[in-house]
Amino acid sequence: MRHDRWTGYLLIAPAFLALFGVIGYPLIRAFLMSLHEIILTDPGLGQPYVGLANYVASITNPLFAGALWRSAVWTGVNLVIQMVLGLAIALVLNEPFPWRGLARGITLIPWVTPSVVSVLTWRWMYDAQFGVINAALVGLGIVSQPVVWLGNTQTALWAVIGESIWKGTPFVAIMLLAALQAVPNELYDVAKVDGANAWKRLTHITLPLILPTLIIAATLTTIFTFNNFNAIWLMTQGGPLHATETLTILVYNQAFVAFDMGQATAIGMITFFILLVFVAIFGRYYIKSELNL
Amino acid sequence: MTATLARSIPQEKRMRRERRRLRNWLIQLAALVFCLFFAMPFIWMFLTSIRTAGDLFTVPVYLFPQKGITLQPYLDVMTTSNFGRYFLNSTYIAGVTTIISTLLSILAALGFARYRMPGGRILMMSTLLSQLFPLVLLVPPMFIVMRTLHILDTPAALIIAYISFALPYSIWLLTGYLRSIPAELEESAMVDGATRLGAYFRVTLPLAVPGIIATFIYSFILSWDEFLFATTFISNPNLRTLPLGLYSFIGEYTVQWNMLMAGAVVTTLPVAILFVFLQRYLIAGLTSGAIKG
Amino acid sequence: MIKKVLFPVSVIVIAAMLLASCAPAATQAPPTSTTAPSSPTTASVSPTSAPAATTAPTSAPAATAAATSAPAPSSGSPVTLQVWIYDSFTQPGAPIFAAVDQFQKDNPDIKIQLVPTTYGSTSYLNKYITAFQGGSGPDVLMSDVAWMPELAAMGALMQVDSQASSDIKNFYPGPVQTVTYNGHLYGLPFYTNDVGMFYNKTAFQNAGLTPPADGWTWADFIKDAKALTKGNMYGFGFEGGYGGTFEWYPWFWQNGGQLLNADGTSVAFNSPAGLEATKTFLGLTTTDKVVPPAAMTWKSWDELAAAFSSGVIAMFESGDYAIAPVKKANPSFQWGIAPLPMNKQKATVVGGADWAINANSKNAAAAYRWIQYITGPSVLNLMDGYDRLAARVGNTDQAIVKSDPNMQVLVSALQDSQARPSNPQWTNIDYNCLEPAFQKVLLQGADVTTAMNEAATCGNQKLAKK
Repeated sequence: MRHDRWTGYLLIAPAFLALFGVIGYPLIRAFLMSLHEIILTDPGLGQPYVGLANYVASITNPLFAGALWRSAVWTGVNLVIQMVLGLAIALVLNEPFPWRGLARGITLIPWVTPSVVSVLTWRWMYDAQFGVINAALVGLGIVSQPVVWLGNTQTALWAVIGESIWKGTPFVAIMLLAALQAVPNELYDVAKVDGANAWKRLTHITLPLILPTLIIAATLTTIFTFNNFNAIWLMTQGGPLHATETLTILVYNQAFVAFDMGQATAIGMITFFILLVFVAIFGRYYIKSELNL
Repeated sequence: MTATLARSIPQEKRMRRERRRLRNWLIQLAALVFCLFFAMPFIWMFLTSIRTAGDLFTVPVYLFPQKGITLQPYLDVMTTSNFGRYFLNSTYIAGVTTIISTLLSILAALGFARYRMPGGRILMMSTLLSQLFPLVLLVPPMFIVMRTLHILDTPAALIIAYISFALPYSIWLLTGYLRSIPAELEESAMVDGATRLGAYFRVTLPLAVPGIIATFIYSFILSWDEFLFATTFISNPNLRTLPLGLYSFIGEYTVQWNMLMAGAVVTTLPVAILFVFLQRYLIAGLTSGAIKG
Repeated sequence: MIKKVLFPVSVIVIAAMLLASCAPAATQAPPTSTTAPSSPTTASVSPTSAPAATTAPTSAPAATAAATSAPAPSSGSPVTLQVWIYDSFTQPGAPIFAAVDQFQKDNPDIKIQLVPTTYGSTSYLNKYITAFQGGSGPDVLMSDVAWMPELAAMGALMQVDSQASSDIKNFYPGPVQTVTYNGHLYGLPFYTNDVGMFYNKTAFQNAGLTPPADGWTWADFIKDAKALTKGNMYGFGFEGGYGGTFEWYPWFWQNGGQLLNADGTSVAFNSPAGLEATKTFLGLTTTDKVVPPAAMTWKSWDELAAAFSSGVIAMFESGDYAIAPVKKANPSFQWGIAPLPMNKQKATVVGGADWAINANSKNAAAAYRWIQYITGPSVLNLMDGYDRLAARVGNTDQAIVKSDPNMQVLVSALQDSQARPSNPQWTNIDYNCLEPAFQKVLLQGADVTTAMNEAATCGNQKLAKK
């Protein structure tokens, strides 16, 4: 570590200028916007200062509570399944077998597929009349009637979660796989000599060693999922009847469907503080692991 | 006594070999299941794209085309779509974004990894925090800022935004990677007469190439896939990125699923193949970034 | 030390600036090359010319485009008009391309760049509003008649009183109304339509039913729809993704309902007559079960046409705009159009599209020449190519009206047609009050009266804001 601090500042300055200009400044603007009434479609209204009225309106907006709950379900289910599945895949792909490189490549494909393509493909698979998923379910006798996955308030959110797991898991798997590769093989050999079985080796050696990455992957997945716009909006636009409207989608719909920028930014700020609380609790380790070196 | 011992050792060896073989088969089976899960949408995509129009809406649904296969959907896509331009736009925007954000994050990572600065922790923390945003919150203020700057509907609007979105994770990844490269290497190069700058360029950065490639891939995928900001900031059809172009293509050919899926294949395949080959670099780059020694 | 680091920093900053300054150059190239690459969006070359077009999307280097366009004879650089048009009008080989070619030949100083945009409230209307509010957007847009009041009230459309004063006489009063807001003109009418009942002739025959004819009633319709619902087929379908509000209007009027009160200050759709009509219409799905569950995701006439021609639904309500999709989906399919069933009176809903100019457009004069041309005398021919009825006087002489009995059914039903209120809040009420109310009934089994009363409260709030 050098103490030539000005060089250090100089090196990080460009990145910070960019971050401030594109994230910091708009964030301040967003906060100011949330204190004004801004209806984009009604320029004659001006932009009167309304104090916290937008916040009151947001919290009392019946759509808000629903969106908050759906955000929690959406993020929670995605997180748990993506982490478990991602870990399983990483463990398998860390073992040597002849076509491992190919398998790793295939696993990565969903991550590099544009969201528009993957959502489109899944919409076609979910199609109520002509979709392959219903055909398989009816064929196997799991359901008697085709399910209208995206046109039913009971199933729409789950259908979108299905696509999002498919698209999101590969990145988790690759991060964990990278961590697994850094675990020295000697540890396993020693454990084998000591008679530890596979489960014990996993819980006593592997998991503790990759724990930092697990936590970082979980934090990133939570943030990515919570903020995910593409998976939901491209599939359902938050419908039917708000059944897939998370906070992220609600902010967008308030801003660019209702054109109520004041309320949109107010809901956005509330969302930001919810995430901040989450980070303060859950992400502390993530930040700490970055700073302690 | 000695005889039984002599017999049991090869027997045990054989059993162990048997067990290893079984384990190997189980691992390959699991890998196959995962690969099928990730590849299934692509299989269905492909099987739809070679169907004739009359073979799309059949009850019951058949996995394989029933009325022969055709390449007509691909020809239709080639003649009616503008994917070439969208590809160029996306490559240009993602390319510039990736180059600039990688350069900025290399500098910032050198600053964080090699210099001790007062407030450095807080700066690193704010970098990390900037990743924890509901990005959708930034859309309304950025829309208004960019409108004021008259850069709405230009590639610059997207490049500026994407650079900042890619920066936090890239800085984090590269800082970790650079920290894993011993600073002593630079010192010894300097003893041999190199300047500090020369040492960074000749010693450190070449060693950090896997990390830089991983950063590169991450930024590229991020800008390649982005839809929310693109759809809000771009209305000129000549500037559409691939996701926007695909989205309008979908609207145009709502139910011509063979053509839509052909479009999906054409737009996904080149990038997917490229990244299947690049996966080893990504994993290598993530390894040191994820686990810091 | 600082100097040593300053160097790479400045190199990078300069590189970044160079790259950024490349941006406009690299991307402005494509627009100027609109004549070179043939593609449906540039319209200048028909997309049916397959071999030529395949090479286009690579949109070779801008240099070649510049080279080819440079020697082209032109008096100054031509104005390029960006024109938003429903994407259903720009399918390969569509008649619009020939019309654009003709216009460009007559007006060498204007280039038309068609921008096919998906019809819909989010994909078209909101997209336009966002672009307009951002200070950009197309020069010209084709707009649903239902969106015109909202856009005009917002100041998003250019007022064309002076230019249009003589042209406007060539259109029927109904369509003229749709381009008029507060006594001013905001565009020219393009086409007009009403809706009838599309029915599957073979299915009616197989079920032993007599085909529907003028004067049939709600009771007849429900009886037929139930009889047709068998096996994989359902009697009826509608755009359930939007709650079916568009298909509901005729039922509402057939029962004598009024959408707004006389002075437009409050909604009136939850009147007893309105509730009865709404219960009957939504009951087709919830109690009569003659609508397939899959209909709840349908949001386009293409989807309905595909379901209709593949035998998933036997009837649907639509206008002349669904004729071409049905023909295309299955050319050998036997079908017809009947007038809508009636109850207290006959009624159908009038729709259509207008051409308007973006208030932001810097090419207003050229833009007006385009809308004048595209709604001019040649529109009658153009609309024949789309199986649609022009809004221009003389449309009853269109070839399609003379030759197509289905079209004749729709034209004669025009006398019973009613229009949606020209209140700037009406689309908002339709999309954000009525649509959710209908979906609550359809998807969650909500009570019709409660849902409609909620929609009325919601609608009155929107009207009060103005």
